[in-house]
Amino acid sequence: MNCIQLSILTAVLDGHRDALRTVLAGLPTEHASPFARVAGTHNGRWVVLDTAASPDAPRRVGGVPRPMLMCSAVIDRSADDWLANLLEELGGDADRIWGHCVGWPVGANRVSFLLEHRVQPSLAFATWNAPVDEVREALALHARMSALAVRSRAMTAAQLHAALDKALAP
Amino acid sequence: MSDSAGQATAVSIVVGIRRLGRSWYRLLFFLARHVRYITAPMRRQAFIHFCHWMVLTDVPNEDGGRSRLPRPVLWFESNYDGDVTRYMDTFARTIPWRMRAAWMPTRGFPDVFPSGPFHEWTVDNAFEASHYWVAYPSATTKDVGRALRVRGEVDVLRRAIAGAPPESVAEHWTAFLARTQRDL
Repeated sequence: MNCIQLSILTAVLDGHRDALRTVLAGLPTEHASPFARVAGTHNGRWVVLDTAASPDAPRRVGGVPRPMLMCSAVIDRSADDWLANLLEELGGDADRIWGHCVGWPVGANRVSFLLEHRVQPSLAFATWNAPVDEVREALALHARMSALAVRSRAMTAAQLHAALDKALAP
Repeated sequence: MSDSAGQATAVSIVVGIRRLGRSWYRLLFFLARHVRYITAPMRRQAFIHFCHWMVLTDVPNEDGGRSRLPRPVLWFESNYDGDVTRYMDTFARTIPWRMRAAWMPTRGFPDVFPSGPFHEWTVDNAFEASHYWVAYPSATTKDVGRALRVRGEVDVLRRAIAGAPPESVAEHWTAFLARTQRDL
């Protein structure tokens, strides 16, 4: 399946912007990020669109009346499956995040709610359009083959054969 | 705030669209979807993993419905290698007319040259991610391209050495190295 761009835009409840930011800032990062546990994710982000003007950070986003939360990701499977998986992996954090947004349903229909708030891209671009597992496998294989290319100079034919068997093993 | 993860950086630029800009974007994006020549330089530069543009004409409101915006908004998101001003700068230098086509219809866009006001406009309209994650943070876009190309050649090597006598493996290996030397 080709990569797809998934963008979910929800309205932040009045007075909840800072609390939402605190929740998002407190999420574990890198290998422990919730996105890391959702299969088929190339990347993911949460962005709070803060429309409030302040002296040091004026925002001039044409006419957007209130803060918004954008959750976006590049994925290699269907949006329904991916969102269901994300919610499962987020557990209670899903309520702690989208509970700050207008209309977030408690319990059921959460995938439907998110899909209803999906924004379709007008134009999406990818330099390499490959599934995430394929990219990861290719990067790992590339590292093994690069290392072997250096070591192979000093190898006999038999050693090379054995080393290739090992490097090419799945 | 976390706009970077290893080699990758997230940028989200959100900016109002000027009068008639929506019609322009409709045409531009239609052409870009169907004419690869338009996005070819981005593919050649190979430092954008993924990016996309969205034109918003309405947004969710406090009643659970949607409110029409007084004017459309362009929401641009990108995952790329490097920092935001260098990223925009590189494109401004290499594909200035495409950059103008992409940003001219937005409010306050000062042109790509001189670079000072353009940098300022970029930073003013960029929103930091509160959380950002990428699946292969140590790889640049070019690294991914090299790895995918090598993977294809490894498949050829696999087929060549399957069942081949051990003494011919070195020959196939040398041929593989010759084909992949630019990517290894």
